[in-house]
Amino acid sequence: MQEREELRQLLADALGGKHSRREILQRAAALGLTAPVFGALLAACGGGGDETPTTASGGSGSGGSQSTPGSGGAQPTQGTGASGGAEIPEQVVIMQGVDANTLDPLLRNATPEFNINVHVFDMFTKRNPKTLEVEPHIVTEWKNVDDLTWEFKLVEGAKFHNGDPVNADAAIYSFERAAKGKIGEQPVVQTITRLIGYESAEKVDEYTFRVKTSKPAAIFPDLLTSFEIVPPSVYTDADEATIAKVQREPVGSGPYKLVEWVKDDHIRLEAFEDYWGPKPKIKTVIFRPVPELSARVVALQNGEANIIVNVAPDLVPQLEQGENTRISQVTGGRIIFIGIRCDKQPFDDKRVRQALNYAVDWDSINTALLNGAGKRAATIVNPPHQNTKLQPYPYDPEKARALLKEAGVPEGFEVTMDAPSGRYIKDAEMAQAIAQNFNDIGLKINLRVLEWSVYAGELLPSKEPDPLFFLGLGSPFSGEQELFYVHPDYSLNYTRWQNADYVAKFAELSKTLDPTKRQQLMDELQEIIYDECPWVVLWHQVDFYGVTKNFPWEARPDERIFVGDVGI
Amino acid sequence: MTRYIIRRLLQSIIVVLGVTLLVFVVLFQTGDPVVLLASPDATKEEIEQIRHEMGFDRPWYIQYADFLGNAVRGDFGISLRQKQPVFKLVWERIPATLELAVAAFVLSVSLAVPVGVISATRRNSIWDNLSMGLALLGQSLPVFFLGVMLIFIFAGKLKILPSYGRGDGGLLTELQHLILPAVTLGTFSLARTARLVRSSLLEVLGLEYIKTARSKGLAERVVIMRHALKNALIPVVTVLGLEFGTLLGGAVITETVFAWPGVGRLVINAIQQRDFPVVVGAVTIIAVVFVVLNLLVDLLYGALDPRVRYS
Repeated sequence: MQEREELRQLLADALGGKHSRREILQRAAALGLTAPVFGALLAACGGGGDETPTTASGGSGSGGSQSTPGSGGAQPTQGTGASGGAEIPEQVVIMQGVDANTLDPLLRNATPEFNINVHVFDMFTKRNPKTLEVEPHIVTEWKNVDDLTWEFKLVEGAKFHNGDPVNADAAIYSFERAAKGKIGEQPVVQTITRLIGYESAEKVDEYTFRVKTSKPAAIFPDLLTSFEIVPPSVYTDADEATIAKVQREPVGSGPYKLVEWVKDDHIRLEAFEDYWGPKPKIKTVIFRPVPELSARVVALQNGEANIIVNVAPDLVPQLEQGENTRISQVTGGRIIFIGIRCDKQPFDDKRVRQALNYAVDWDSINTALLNGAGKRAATIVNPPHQNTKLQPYPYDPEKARALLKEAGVPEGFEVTMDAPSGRYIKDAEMAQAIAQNFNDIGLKINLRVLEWSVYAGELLPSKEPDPLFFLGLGSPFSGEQELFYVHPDYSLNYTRWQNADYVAKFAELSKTLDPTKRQQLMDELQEIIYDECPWVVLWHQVDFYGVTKNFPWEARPDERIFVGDVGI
Repeated sequence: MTRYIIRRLLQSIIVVLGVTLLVFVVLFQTGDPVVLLASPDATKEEIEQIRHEMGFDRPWYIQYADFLGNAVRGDFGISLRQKQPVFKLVWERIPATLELAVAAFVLSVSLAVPVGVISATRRNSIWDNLSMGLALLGQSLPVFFLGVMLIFIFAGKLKILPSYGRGDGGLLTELQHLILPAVTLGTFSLARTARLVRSSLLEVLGLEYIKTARSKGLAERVVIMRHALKNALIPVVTVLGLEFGTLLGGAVITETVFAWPGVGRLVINAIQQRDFPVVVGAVTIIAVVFVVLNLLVDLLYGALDPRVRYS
């Protein structure tokens, strides 16, 4: 307990959590509030919870909230985590940080939007939250007719919310619409057709269709986990008005219909009676955008929300100890790393890059900043395609110094390192700690911390960051996509790392369809990266969700929130 | 009077133009939104292509002229992120912001005047010291801090008020949702107005005509309420006009803290997402509202006090 208090104090003294920074810094700055002041403030909110545990049970205490979700399940089931004796409420409230901008499947580009679409639409395939393998969904089976032709079978008898049938025509139309590249004047955000090299699609029978690609595309079924099937009669894009309408009034074939959207207040979904799959037990799902983390936490404690997103590590103990709250945490797919410009001296020498990897004292960072939740990563690839033989670089400052000496790097060599602030969990703080680690092995780091909008809006587009740059990349699980992150052709790869062996093997991988052979190639590619170190690989970011104790939902590594299968 | 009105109108137009120009220049200093719009794996050429198609490769003054030309026709463009007309996005949020600003305004005025009067008439009493001390605190507390504290106390600990949103279950719940944001937003204005009422009343109370009134043997109550307060409130009224505009603008922070679906949050989100048309459009619309309010106050003032017209 003592230790926990000390830790809490330490965390309190550190700056505010991931969320506080991302969402609030602009406002705080506008007020002349510095980040430390804000951090202390959050701690003040968090600290009190220990001394006086909240007494009200779920949903009963909050005067005036019109909707008390989970009030049906107001008797907290003591000590049960997720399963066992849990009651499924009629209505569930999910609080995310921001509202959706658009629910057009081709224009959405953020996780909060995706989380709504996954209820309203059917993705062609789905990902098993445990194994992360791709599984059939509205397409029930698929096969390669040849290397460039895929044949898919749709589930029979499914309907869109407007009554239209889900059939091969709808599937083909969904691909054709994505391949147009533009909706009105807006460029399409959905990348699937580009990534597979989409050529054409043709109907075989009512429920069977074929897709032709310009290259073998083993990751096709994987990409289909985030691709929606849409009814052609609604998504015609005939004129500006039609285009604007579908942004806000999505029509899909998913387990829920959108019935109301009050912008920046809430989105209400109701279960779709004619859903083809298992009927959801939860009848109403409400998404509320609540930007302020402390407001989300209070709402969860008062039983006004069932799931809240992006709980800062500092607040985790408070919710874990809460009477009717718990934390669901999962190691996500987002890889956080420090990119190394391999075209800049002395980083063209791989010994120097290895030295940086040995220099990171991850355990201290983990304890001080992450509440002990973060493991150092060994490879940039997510499960299920990780090379499990690789171990993370250990903390070995002596070895790092020796390697630098071997490479002839002079003591006190000055390097600039860029880091964003307010985008990833504890990003700026982590960068500070690592800069110190690098100083300890004899470098002199000039740390340049930039607000995320500047970092993403200016520094990264310039494609010329400083020799070291802190970054995180999103969560694919196909293996090939993660490995592409360090490929010279990847547009966000600023490392300029050149390795003919890697490029050749990668080319082979993208042509190979056999799973065993693919895994072997992926293992080899990971070994090359491990040895060559174009990055200092840090960790796969852990996502923290606050959940009401009796609500049986668990966090998924792919950042998705889906409640349609809760209790089924 | 006509010349005065025309002069004030022209000034107002210049102000609005100035605001739009400023927003435009500042925004374009920070780069353009194309990179964030394009898909993450877009190549440099594709980004250039999008930039060209969306017109972001033109010089900023051309884009500015373009914007002005459309804006006078009421067309503020389409949101890059939400793909909806900007005017519609702003318009559908104005009721929420107005509701919050009016509630904060009513709250602050209805408390500020009595507090100011009591302080002034009982100068240096405990009352005066206490209320002016609190006023100082109210003026110095960052809105953001106050909001989070109120959530912590009234929603977190006491559980008597909701912490987020506008509520949608009838008048009573909506009022409950309104209380915390309105208090948060109105506190600064309440503190400032109370101090202003006090100092203004003190000034008037020292004037000769008050002495005359007192020497006539009028009751102190009558002296203050009927004679002193009338004159003391003139500067207060002027400030209140501006105050309401400030409340509209200050709602940005309050709306974010309390997840209030108003214009302020729209703007904040748009800035974070580099949704330029929404930022420029919303700021312009807010500026117009602000300027119109000011203009009305000025005109009213000019009608009340002829000296103003000639200064």
